[in-house]
Amino acid sequence: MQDIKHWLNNLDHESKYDESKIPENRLRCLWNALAEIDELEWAEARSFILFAYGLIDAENREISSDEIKQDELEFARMCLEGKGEEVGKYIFRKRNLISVLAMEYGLLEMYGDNSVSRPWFGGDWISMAELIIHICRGRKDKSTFSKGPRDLIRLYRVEWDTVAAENVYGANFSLSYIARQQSMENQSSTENEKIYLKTTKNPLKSLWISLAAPIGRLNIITDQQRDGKKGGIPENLWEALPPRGWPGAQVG
Amino acid sequence: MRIEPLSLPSYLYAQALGWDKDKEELIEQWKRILMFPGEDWNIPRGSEYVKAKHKDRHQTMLDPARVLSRLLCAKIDLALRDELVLETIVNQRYSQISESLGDNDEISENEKNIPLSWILRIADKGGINWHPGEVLTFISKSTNYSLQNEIDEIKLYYPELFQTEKNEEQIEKEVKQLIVTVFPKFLKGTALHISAPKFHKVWDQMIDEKSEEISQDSIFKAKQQWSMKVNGLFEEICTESCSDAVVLQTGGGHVLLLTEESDVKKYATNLLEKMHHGFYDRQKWAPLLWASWPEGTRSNWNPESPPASKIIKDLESEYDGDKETLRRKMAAMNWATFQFGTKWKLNAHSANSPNSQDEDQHERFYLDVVGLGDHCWPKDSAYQAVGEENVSNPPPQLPPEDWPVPKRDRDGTIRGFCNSRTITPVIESTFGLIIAKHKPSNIEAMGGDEIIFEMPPSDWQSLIENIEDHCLSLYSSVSSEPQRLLWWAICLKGITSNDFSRMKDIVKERMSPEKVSLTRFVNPIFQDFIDFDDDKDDPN
Repeated sequence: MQDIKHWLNNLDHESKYDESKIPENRLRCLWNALAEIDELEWAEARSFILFAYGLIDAENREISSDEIKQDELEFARMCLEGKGEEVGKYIFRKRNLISVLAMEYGLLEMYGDNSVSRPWFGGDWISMAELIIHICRGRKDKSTFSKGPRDLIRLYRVEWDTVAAENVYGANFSLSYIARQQSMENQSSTENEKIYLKTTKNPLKSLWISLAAPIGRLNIITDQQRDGKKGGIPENLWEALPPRGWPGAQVG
Repeated sequence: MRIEPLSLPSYLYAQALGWDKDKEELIEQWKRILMFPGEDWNIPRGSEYVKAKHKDRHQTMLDPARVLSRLLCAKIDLALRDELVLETIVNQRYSQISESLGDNDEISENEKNIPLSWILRIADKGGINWHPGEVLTFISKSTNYSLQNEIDEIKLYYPELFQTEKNEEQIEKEVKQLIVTVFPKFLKGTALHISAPKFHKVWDQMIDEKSEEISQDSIFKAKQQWSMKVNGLFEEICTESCSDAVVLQTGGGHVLLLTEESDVKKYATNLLEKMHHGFYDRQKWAPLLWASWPEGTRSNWNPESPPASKIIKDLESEYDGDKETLRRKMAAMNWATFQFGTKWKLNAHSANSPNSQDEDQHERFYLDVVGLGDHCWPKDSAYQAVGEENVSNPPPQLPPEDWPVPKRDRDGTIRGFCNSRTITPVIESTFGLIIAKHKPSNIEAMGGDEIIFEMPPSDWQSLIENIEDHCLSLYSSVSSEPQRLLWWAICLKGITSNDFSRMKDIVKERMSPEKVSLTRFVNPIFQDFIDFDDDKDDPN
C-alpha cells in the first residue's frame, strides 16, 4: 500500500499528470484495500475507497469524525433495509462514503465530464453498503462481511491473448500490469488471472472490460456453458470498453 | 431443486401422476411442453388428478411445470438460433420451399429463425405427426449436443420417450423433412397479433372511482383478482374463438395466430367480436381487445358494462371465495420444492424471530419489469396509427375505442413474440423464486410483469440478491439479451399509492444509459432519494 500512500501524499487535482487520476491506480488502490480490509482502520480504509472513486483530495483526506462515521453507517443501513434516507444534494455532493454508495447505486455520476459512469462494483450497491457498515464498525467488531476484491470488482484492466479460438478470447487481468510503473512489491496473488470471453467482434484494442459479475462469481455464468470456464462468458454478459480515456469515457 | 430448465424432468416425474402408466398420455404431454405450453396446460397432481382425467378445465396459477417448460423452450430456441439450425435447413432447401410457395418473395432472417415450437404447432394443427422424443433427439444432435444435460435428464426419467428403432441420422432426416413441409405454411399465413392491452388504463376506464361509493379496499382486491385472471382468461377465450387458425404462441396476455384467411380484416373483426361475447358470457363485460397484422388493425371495446360496483363486487367475491383462495395457496405450495439452500435468510438467527414470524410486522414489496412493453414491442416498429399521437400513451380525452392500435410489419411481430417468449418465463420464474425463497405472507397482486407481496422487511436484501443471481443464471442460459436493469423493486413502507410512474420516470432519467452503465438486474427505488435537487455542480 506504499504506492497508494505516496499518491495520497501527492494529491494535486490541478496537475495534468496527477497519478491519482490514472484509473489503473484507482483500481489498484481499491483492490489492495479490499484485499486487506480487515486489517485497516475506518479512516484508512475510507480514504482508499474515496480515492478509488475520485472523491478525495489534499483538503479532505484527513477529515474524519465520529459524526461522519455515524452518518455513513446509518445511510448504508437504511439502504439495506429498503428505506433509503432523506438525502439532499448536500449529502450526495460531499466527498464521503454516502456519495460512493450513491455512485454504485447509479444516481451520482463518477466523472466530471460527459463520460458514462461505470462504478467499480458495477452497481452492486448492496455490497458497497455492506462494506461501509463493515469498515464503520471497525475491525474489532464481529462482522459477517467476507467479500474480497474478487467478489466485488466488475471492471478490469486487461491484456489480451493474441490468439482466439472460436470467438473466445482470453483476457488476462494482472495487478502487476496495473502497477508496471509503480513498485512491484506487494503484488496480489491474483496476478495473471485469465477470463475467457466470447464475442463475434474483435475486442483486442480495448484496455478495459466490464463484467456482469465479479470474477469470484463468474461461475454462476460459466456453470451454464457447455464448455465451462473455457467456453467463455457469453457476449450479452460482458462489454469491451472503448480504447480510450476512463473506463466509462465513450460518450461526450 | 433449482429453478432452471434442467429441473423440469425430475419435477414432472415427482408431480405428474399417471404419466408413467400411460405412454400415449406421456407423449401427448411432452408434445405440449415442446410447443411452449399456454396458461391452460396443467399436470395432474394428487386430488386434481381425477379432475384432469375428466378433462375438467382449470388453470393453475403460476404452475412451476409450465414455467420450467417455457424455460426449456427458451433454452432450445437459443441453442437452435446459435447454431443457425432452422436457417441452415431453409437455405439448403430454399428452392423446394420457394416452389411450394409459388412466388419469389424473400424469406427474412427473422422468418428463417422462428422458434421450433411454432413449426410443431403448425404441424400439430395440420395433423402432421411428430414424436417429442425424436424432436428432442434432433435438437440435441443439431445443436452439437449443447443441450445434452437437459436431454440426458429427460432420458433418465422418461426413457420410454426415446425408445425407437430409428437411428439418429434417420430421425434427423425426418425432422428436417417435417420442418421443410411445414415451413411454407408459416410463410403463407398472416401473423395476427391479438392482445388485451393497457391493463391499468382500461381498468381506470371501467372503474370510475369517483362515481360511486366503493371502498378502496374492495377496489384494490377486485383489481388484484382481475390482474391474476385476465391473461389466462384472455388466452382461453381467444383459443376457443379461433378454431380455424393456428395458435402459434400464447403468453403474457398476447396471442399470435397464423391465419390463411384472405380477408384478414373481416376475420379479425369477427374474432374480436367472438372474444368480446366470450368475455361477456362469463362476466357480463369485456376488456379492450386489439388485433393487428402487417396491413391493418382492429379494436373492440363496448363501453356498455355493468356498474363499477357490480364488477368490483363480483371480482371481490371471487377473490375471497374458496376456489381462488385455494388457487393462490396451491401456487405457494407448488413452489415450495424450489426453496433451495439457505441463502434466503442472511441472518439465520432472525429467520424465526418473533418479528419475522409476526405477519403484522411484515411490509409490502413491489416488483415489476422495467419497460416490458418497449422491450417486446419497441416503438421503432410501431406505426403511429393516428397522426403524431403516441401509441403508448393515448391522450386522456380519447375513449378506448379510439386509442391507436400499433401496427407492425411481419418481422416486427415475429421479433416481438420471440422477445416475449424469452422474457415471460424469466418473469414467471422470478415470481416463483420469490414465493419459494421468501414465502410471502400475502400475495396482493401477481399478473403480467408485476407482483405485490408481503414479507419480513429483513428479507429485502436477500430478496434482491436472490433475484440478481437468478437473472444472471437465466441470462447465461436461456436469454441472449444484453444485461440490463430489468426489475424495479420498492419497499412500500409508508407508501399507500400503487402508482409509481413518477418515481420511475425520475430514476429512469437519472440512470439513462448515456449517464451510467450498471451491470445489475434489479433497480430499487428509494423514494427519499428522488427528491434531491437536480443541480449539476460537481461534488464538493
